[in-house]
Amino acid sequence: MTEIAELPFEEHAADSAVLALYRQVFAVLARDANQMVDDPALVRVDELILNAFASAGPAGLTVEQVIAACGDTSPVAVRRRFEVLRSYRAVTKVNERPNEMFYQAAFAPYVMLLFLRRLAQTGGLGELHQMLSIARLSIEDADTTLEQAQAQLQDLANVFRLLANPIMQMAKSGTVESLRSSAQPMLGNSELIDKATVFHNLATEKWPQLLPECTQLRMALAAYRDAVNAAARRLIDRAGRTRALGLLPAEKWRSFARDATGDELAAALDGLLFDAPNPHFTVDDLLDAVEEGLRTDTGRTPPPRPRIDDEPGPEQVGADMEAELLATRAEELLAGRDEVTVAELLDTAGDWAAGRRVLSDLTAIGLRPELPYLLTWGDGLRINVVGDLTWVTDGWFRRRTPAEAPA
Amino acid sequence: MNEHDTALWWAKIRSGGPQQAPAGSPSPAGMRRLVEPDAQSVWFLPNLPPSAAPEVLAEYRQEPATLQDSAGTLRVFAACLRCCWPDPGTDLWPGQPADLTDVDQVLQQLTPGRDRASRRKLLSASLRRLEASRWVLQTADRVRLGPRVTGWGSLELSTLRELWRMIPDPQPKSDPGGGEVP
Repeated sequence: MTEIAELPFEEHAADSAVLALYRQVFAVLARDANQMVDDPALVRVDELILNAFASAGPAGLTVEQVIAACGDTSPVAVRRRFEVLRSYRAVTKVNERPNEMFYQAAFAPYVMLLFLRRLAQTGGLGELHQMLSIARLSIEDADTTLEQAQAQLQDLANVFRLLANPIMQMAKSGTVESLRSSAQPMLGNSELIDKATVFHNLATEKWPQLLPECTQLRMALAAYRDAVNAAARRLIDRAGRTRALGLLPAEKWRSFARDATGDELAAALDGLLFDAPNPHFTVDDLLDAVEEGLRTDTGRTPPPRPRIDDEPGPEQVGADMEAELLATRAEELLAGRDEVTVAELLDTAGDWAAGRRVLSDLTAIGLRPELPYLLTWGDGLRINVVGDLTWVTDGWFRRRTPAEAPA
Repeated sequence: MNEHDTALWWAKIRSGGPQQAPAGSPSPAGMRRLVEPDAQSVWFLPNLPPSAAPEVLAEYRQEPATLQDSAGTLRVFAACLRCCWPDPGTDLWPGQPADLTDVDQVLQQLTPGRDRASRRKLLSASLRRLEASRWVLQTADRVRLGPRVTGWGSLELSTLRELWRMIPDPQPKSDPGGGEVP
């Protein structure tokens, strides 16, 4: 953008002058000292102020006159914008003296405003075309120096790089939606590339010593062409077989269906007649469904729930059954006696597997305080190296006397 | 009835299912005319040859119109058939209106393992679906068979009668004979 702004103001060669102009130009965009304008209303206020100055004539205006000229815009906003413009020297005192009341406006901000408007509307491609034409004319001009041509080549290379980068980024990783909406104005510019190539060829012929700059421009052009091709390929891929880039994407249809009112939706179907999507039942379907329903007598088992009512839950019933089993087993093991040693029981059981079962039964019975049996262990150890059970701890299994009953 | 009206009736029926009309209205060509039991109105149903009926979809292995919870809906419909068709020796249409409580009792037999609330939900949702396509007609807390049931042929009716015998009675104690609903 700076290079565009420089073109009509080549007399401001000195750095300080360029800076001053740059600040003037951006005064229309700056809200306060360091911020850019993000509200279109403020831009309108700037325009009104500059309009007022344009129609005021050489005498200039006071702040109050400007506010009056701005009509129904709020005086506070006008005054604030006026101060910003003044701090950027876009609006200056007519005479530089302490009590000067009249101000005049510089023209650069207004030009810039118009320029920015046009850029926003057309995307800046028209300006780029003009720049390319001017550059080519200047090459043919005998007055153009080597330095000017060099600067132009570099500027154009930068422009094409800046143009290519966002397109490439969108083509690679942007959503198709954004690519479609913002890249389309940038596409289809083979004419632009042709023009730039012509300019490049002319420059190389006239100044062979500018080859590095020309190479830069050529690379930038190639990058732009690649980016445009990639974007076009992606768009065409997404458009599907119809190649209809103008077709609305599926997202649009979906969001319309979500946001539309009932009447809008109905209007889309006006004049169309649909077959009723009514279900048709065959008798066989009916028979199947009924048979299946009658067959699954048990139905689903309900998921486990905490039991809060009085009736005993199934797990308690099961526990009692297990206790009964254990009691009969205990009677079997005792076989009418009141007390029996564990070693004896294991010997009766015979092999290791049966012994293990006896042992587990004994432990289970012993762990149930509600059963009237006791299992006690001693410190002694019976060792039999040759037998199945090489060692057996001393233990006694006996009937519990009523005195020993647990509290 | 001229051609235009006939075409209009056909279009209405294709897009909206069986159509009800006042008793005096003339029949469009190719339509079956079903008189309501109170003789105040008639239903028009298309007289489709077997090669154009909805069964053709199955022949061509096409997906039929999808129905939410089709098994449950079919069971509700079967319960309605049992209650609204007191005597399987007679014709299906017009049948008798039945109380929803009776239908619910039969449905309880057909959908074991459902609690009362979920059964009520199934019943009302299915009845709404069935009524939308005129398989049943609903008034307040009564339900009766819709005009669509007359689409079944005699062969299918014999299967239906077997089905009827399979389904348990809504009021086994008070009325063991035919389940006649007053």
